[in-house]
Amino acid sequence: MKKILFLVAVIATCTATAQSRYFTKTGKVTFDATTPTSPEKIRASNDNAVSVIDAGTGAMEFMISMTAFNFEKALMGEHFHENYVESEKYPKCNFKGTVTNIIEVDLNKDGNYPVNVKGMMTLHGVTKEVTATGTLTTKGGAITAGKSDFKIQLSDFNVTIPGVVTDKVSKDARIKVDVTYEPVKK
Amino acid sequence: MKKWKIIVLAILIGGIGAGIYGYLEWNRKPASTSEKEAIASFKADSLASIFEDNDSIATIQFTGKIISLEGVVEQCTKDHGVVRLRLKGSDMSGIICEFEAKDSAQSGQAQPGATVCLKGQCNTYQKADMLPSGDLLLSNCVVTEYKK
Repeated sequence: MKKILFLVAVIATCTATAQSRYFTKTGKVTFDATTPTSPEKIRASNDNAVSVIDAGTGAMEFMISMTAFNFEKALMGEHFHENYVESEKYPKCNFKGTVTNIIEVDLNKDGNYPVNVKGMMTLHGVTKEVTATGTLTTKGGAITAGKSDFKIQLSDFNVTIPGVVTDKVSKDARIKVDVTYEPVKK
Repeated sequence: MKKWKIIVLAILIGGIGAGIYGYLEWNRKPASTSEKEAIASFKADSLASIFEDNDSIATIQFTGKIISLEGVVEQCTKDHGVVRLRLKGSDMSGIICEFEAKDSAQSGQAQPGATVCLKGQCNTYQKADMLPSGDLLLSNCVVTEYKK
């Protein structure tokens, strides 16, 4: 009898874990380092970010292929990939952290919840602590979307801007994240 | 013609030429994958296995490079006009192929089970620790051939 109860408890725990995790492989991340004196928008987007969130613990993860950032203009893309973030040398950017106020996100009540995220981000071979605010959207008992808009100092990640364009490229890049989550299926 | 006139004319022509080159270079659009040469050809399952076996070495070898691929379509999705095909890889991994916008109409017709040949830019093997499996990402893909 005890064995059966134990088995039921294990299965229930596994099911709960699976149901509490949500993921996407098509998250949209945009990077903007435009300044008022930039001759045009210095902007790139990547529609293939992988993200996972655990609604129970608040654990959150992002994985981004740097080489998959697309620019409207080829020259800007070449400078970004070759001179700034060195995409072939450091092809991955990842973030591992926690939604620190996940307890305030009520899965039983549809809505947009303001959240605080804190964790370690690795970019250009440098790992730094990053904090950001954002929103999580819940619908039908599940987390369905997440959004955030925050800034990172490029110098924190050893990304140097050449002197000749120092006032044309922002020292802090604006990062926008827009993801639609679906439940992780076991 | 006087010597100084020739010098002024040469400088003028050189300046105009440099200006035109600069303008064209500044406004150059990214080249389509169809205009690029693939450095290697793979079956989808063998490429997925290469990345699964040693992600670090495969990343150094192939990331940012154009690759030709043949594989069986597992899933076709369209999101905000962007078509993605997931090709069957190994037991644990697949290959996600994101298509160029102008190729979306053709690639969007791919049916699960069909064999497709394509070219695309190899990115990284995207595996989050919190997920049981990962996928290799190819972007800016173009279909080169459909097979029955």
